[in-house]
Amino acid sequence: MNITNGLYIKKFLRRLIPSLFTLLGISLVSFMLMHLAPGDPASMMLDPKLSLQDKALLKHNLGLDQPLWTQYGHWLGHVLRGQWGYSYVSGKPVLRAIAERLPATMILSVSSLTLILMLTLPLGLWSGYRKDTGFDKTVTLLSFVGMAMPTFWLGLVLMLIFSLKLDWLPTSGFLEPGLETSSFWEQSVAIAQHLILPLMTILIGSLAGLTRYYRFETIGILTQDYIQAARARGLSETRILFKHALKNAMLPMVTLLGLMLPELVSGTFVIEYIFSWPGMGQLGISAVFARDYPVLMGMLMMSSVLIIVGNWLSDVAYRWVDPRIS
Amino acid sequence: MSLKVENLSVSFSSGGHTVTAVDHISFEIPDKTIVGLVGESGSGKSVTAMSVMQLLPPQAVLSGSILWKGQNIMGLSNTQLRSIRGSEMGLIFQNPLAALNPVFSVGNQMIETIVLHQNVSTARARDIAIELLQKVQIPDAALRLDHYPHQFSLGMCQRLMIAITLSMRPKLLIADEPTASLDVTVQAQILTLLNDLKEELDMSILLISHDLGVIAQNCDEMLVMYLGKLIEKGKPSELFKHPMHPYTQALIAAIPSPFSKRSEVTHVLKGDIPSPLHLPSGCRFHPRCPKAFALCSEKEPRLEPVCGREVACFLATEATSNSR
Amino acid sequence: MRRLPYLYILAVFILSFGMSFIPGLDATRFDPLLAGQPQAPSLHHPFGTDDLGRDVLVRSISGAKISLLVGIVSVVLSTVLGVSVGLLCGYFEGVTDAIIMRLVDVLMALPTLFLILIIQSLWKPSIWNVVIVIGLTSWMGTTRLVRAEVLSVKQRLFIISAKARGISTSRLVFKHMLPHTLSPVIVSATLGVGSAILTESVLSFLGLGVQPPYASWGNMLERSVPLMNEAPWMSIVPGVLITLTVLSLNVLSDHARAALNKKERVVS
Repeated sequence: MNITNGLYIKKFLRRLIPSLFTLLGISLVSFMLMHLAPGDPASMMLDPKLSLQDKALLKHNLGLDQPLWTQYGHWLGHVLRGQWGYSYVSGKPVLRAIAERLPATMILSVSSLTLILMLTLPLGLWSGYRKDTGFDKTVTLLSFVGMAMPTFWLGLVLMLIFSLKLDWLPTSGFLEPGLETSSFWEQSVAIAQHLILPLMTILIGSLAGLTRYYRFETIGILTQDYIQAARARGLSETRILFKHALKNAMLPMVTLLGLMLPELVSGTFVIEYIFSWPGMGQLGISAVFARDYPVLMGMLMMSSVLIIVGNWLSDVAYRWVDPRIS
Repeated sequence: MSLKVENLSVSFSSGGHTVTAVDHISFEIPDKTIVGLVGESGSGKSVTAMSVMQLLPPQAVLSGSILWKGQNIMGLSNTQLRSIRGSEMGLIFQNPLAALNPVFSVGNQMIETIVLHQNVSTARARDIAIELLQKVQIPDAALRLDHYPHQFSLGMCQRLMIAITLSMRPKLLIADEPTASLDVTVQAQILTLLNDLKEELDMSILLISHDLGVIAQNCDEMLVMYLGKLIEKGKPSELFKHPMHPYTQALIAAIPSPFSKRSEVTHVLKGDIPSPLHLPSGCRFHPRCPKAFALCSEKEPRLEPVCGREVACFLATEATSNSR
Repeated sequence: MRRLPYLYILAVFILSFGMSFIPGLDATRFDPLLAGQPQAPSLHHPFGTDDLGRDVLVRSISGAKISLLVGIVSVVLSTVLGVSVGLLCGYFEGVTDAIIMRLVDVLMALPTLFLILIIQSLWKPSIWNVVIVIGLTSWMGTTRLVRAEVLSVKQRLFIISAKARGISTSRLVFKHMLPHTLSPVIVSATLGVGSAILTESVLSFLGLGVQPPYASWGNMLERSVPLMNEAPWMSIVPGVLITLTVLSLNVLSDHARAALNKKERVVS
């Protein structure tokens, strides 16, 4: 028991240490990028009429007059102690500002990820199985078109059709004002209504990649001996496709999901912005415009941690689903 | 008569070319016999096996008939075929590891098959699976059931395949090069196992191999294939003593024997097996045949009965008609 | 049907780059009489006009030039960078490789689009900045690809035999290894052009890309947002153009992949 525990800890550390270095690297790269840029937040955020003296004072207060390395050291030291600074715009502590945005982002990303996983697998399997038929060709065409559309534009078009023209769904936002105190059920329905359009936008853009991938995998898998052997045993086609081919096709999915995460994270940013979805993405983009350094640093670090952990989890999941890797 | 193949032809067309892999072959497999099918790779052996199981890819074009217990199974729907596959005919492959799904445990795949064919509960199927593993001499059967295919040696995998196939109690077992990927000692074990099981279960076996030794030791009847054609068929004992077709002669002469010196090997075939895209005219073997004469490149010899066997060679048929 | 994407791309190229030679077609020229009120498509303005009275068709063609330029130049940049770093890492392995690959890991763990947004917002947005930023943030995939390919090619016999014949390092890399890595690189570069065009459109849409008065498909979309309901053509035209262009490029990449796969199968 102790030996296996020790082994796990060793394995864990072997993964953790490089990840920590990666995070350190990310923080350094992002910090330098932001602070080397011409212009500074003091001149951005404040009244242009402010006197030079006051500006200098403000810069001093924000620590912006010190050499870059010192600034970075300061920032790192604070972060390691759990102090991520305060938003230049709202004055809230960075972690709190981000945490406030987390639920909305989680709702959007978890629901879209779940639907992507649930829809792409059967679509890809079936179009691989029915290769070159009408079904396959339709799916292929639609996925290519979905992949080629600028997501923000797709979101705007959907908004135009379903909210402005047909008036079926709310244009944007999360919860109508006045509903904050209503019952959980009413709130959920309202949020779900607001969720439909952003969700559809994400789905149309992201179904394509995985579906194509599964199709390709399935075509390869169906030529394998073990599929022929399963047929030779008289198993039904459904069983062959949805048991024997499916699990094999699913294996690389976990890795793929890990690789897709960064894109999914950035993609969600723009969607949130368009639909005024009060998530991390919207916060991020407004922080970009306001040069809110502490928030931007926090966001970058957070999303990187998310991506690294995602990759990590997908590795673990891979070991778990593929019996050949122990 | 359990299996009767008549005038079977299989061709594949891709990119404007049509390749005929099997060309008008006919043979029978009587009950409780082992029929061997020999030939070089590319001769159409495996395609023949797969067409008997009706497992060729959709782009394959088949003609002729395959009668199973009097019923033509050619062109039956997948659903209809499912009642024949497994329960009537079983198939084992050249590479047993590739024939087992790598992501499911061996037990999972066995139990799935047993439940389907014997209509028993999963728990009962597990017991049956353990018995079967013991029957094919896999030690620690109960434990090994939960292992995955990659945890078994190739020889063990072939035993597993045999066990899975036997669980369906087929009347005909098609074994496509069942020992080609195995070590010599393991080969012998697998063949003995197959022979024992054949006796026990009253099956017939279609044994496909490029190894004449394997065929000679195990079969009641042997078929020799060259480029999609059957060129000689008869009892192995007779064919070995007096091969009539020059190709059969060459195959037998090429068997290395510890007592023959290298210089004594007289019949080494010239060249490679021709591409099926450009089949030779007349007898397909004539470009490589040491005894070919003018007629061979013009006319195709037919498989004709000669002295209790069948041969497709002008030399053989001529010799007998002269002596008559 | 199969030739359609090729014809489309060719047409976009000829139109957008040929337009400079046709006098009187100026993307920035506006009709003061029509300003303030976007005009629906008509015989005179087949794709309508925008709220400043500029012809949407002319702007689309001019925007095509910018979008394609951004797409192609940034991909050339990222491909050159990616291939050279990949060759370097794959050939020398060791410490250099370890350090660079860690950097690649770092950059790949960042949400790229967000990073691009930050950089663009900090530095002055301009066409060249867009190109450089896209180029500098999209080379890592190519590097990994090339490095892996070089490592595997190194194992293969013919490289060992070339070494045994005493061939110089640079010759080995450029004559023997580079060609082997090219086919996957071509496929991913074609895909890259499409995705760079998409990135440019997002940036311009957020006002961080190509700045007016230059037309790009992205900033045409930005301009159309407040008028979505009244003047949908202002949004539909550039949106459809982006989609068709990226679609065609992706189809080309798919064809290239299929063709290269076939070739490789024949060779081996």
